[in-house]
Amino acid sequence: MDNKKVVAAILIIIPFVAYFILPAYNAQYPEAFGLPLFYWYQIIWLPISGIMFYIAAVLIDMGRKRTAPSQTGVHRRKRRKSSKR
Amino acid sequence: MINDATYGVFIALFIIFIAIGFLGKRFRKGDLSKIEEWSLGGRNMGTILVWFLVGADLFTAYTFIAVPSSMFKIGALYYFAVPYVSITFAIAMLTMPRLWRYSKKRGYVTAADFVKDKFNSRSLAILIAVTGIVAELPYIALQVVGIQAVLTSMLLGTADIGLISSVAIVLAFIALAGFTFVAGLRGVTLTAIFKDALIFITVAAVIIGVTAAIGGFGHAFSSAPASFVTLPHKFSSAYISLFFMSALALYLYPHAINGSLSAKDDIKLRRSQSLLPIYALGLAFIVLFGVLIYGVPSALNLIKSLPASSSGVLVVPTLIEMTMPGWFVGFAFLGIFIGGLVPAALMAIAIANLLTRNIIKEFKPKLGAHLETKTAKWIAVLFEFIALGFVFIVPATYAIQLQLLGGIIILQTLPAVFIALFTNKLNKYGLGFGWLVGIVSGIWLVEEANHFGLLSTSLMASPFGLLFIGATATALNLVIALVWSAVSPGKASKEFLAATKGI
Repeated sequence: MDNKKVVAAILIIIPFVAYFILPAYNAQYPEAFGLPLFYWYQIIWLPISGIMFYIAAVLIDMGRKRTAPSQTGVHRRKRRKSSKR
Repeated sequence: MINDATYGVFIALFIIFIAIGFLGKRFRKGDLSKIEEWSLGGRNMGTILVWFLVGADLFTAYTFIAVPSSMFKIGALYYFAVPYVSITFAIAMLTMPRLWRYSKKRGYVTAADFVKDKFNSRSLAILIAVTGIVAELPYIALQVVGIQAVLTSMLLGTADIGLISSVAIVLAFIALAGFTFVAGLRGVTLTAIFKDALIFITVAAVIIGVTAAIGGFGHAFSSAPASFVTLPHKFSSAYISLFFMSALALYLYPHAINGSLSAKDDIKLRRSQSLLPIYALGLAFIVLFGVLIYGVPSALNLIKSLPASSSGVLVVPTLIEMTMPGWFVGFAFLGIFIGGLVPAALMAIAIANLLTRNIIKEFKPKLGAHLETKTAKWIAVLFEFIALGFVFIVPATYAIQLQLLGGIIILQTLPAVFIALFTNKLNKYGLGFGWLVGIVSGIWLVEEANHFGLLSTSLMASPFGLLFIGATATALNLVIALVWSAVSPGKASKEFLAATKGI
């Protein structure tokens, strides 16, 4: 297993740990915008986990060949030639 | 408040919605008599389209109506929906791209196609297909429950409310069936983007508008019972088992797999799944509507004046109606309304594929490609109307009970679908027996937890405190499947191994 995969695995595991340590965030204080810790903690972990998963996704696929896109039908693929990578 | 502008905006936006659905036919044109084109959009959706499609179809009208109403009744326990929608996408980004690669190579449209090919077993594939259909049907029916809640709120106080809302739902479903049939997944994808725009704007407007009007979330929390502020300790194990098992279950549902397989390539698919926790921010806030309503006395009093059977589902519509101007209520209600229709369409497509390819075709192997697509199209329409009829005939509470069971049932396909993606050693008989034990124990435990009466809970007492039954049943299933496979390893079919070498 190369280093990239290890980093990707760690990035994926961190949000699991963040949500599994329930006693650590099951409290009212500190509050933010009137929301108890229990709520705002879980909300902010949504974008954080999204970013971590995305970086992990890029690392996992780095250097992997893209599986050829669909051959069926006559898709107008020209327009999206420079697809977002 | 509700006034003429509400109805005007609602109807105008609904017409736009239907038009977009039918125009989907022309979107990235393909030969719609092929099943891959009709039901998977030609496997041609990019990162952003898949993000919208899968996001829109996982966060349904039922989610937007039922989770906040459970929150309103029970409190913090139902916030498990938030960790659930974070980690479910980690599971998706690890499993779906691999399933996509196999599907692309071998022409699968459903998970059961994969199981049949890999284990060379028709029986196991039929088990998986039937499980998917049984778990999905009540899910479609519940979309109708969500849609009804919006109409009830909008028409409250009108004479003939039952008749008018029934007619409206039937008309909406006819339109929906029309574009599902004509445009297939393309129509679903485009309408999903439209729906998402409405829902996101609604959530943002209500959160900002209501918190500003009542002086912040703090006020709502101080008016709500203590079980809302933090999670009561007796629910700790329940909370963790609910979010973890729900996260495992989501991508076993046929519509989630169907949406994923429509991606253009595996890398785009992985990226779009990885970013979906950000989409889930909308859900995290809409669940809080169940708390916010405690800070709005007019809405709270209205809810409390309604009979207990219907008050729950009306939490979100009532809060919107009591705090927003008329035209915006129409906008928001249409968002929730089509938030039920769009997923219902994808779910119908997904189970039509399962029934056509994995059950009907097993008994009528001569079904040609054109006839197969035609059959799937008609079955999708049929399922939409079965789900609709279900709601008119069977009381909504039963649909909710079936949905409760559905989550536990679909989990029993986990070894044969998810684990089989990563190993060739699973034994098909072990998988079959594990499935059987998981289904039987799951149903038995749910019945026992509810004292063989109306199903209202999916939690059971355990040495670790209250636990989600899905965890227990799936653990039994896994132990059987894995131990059996360790003692007598099975092997994947030769054709599958040869064709998928190196991917």
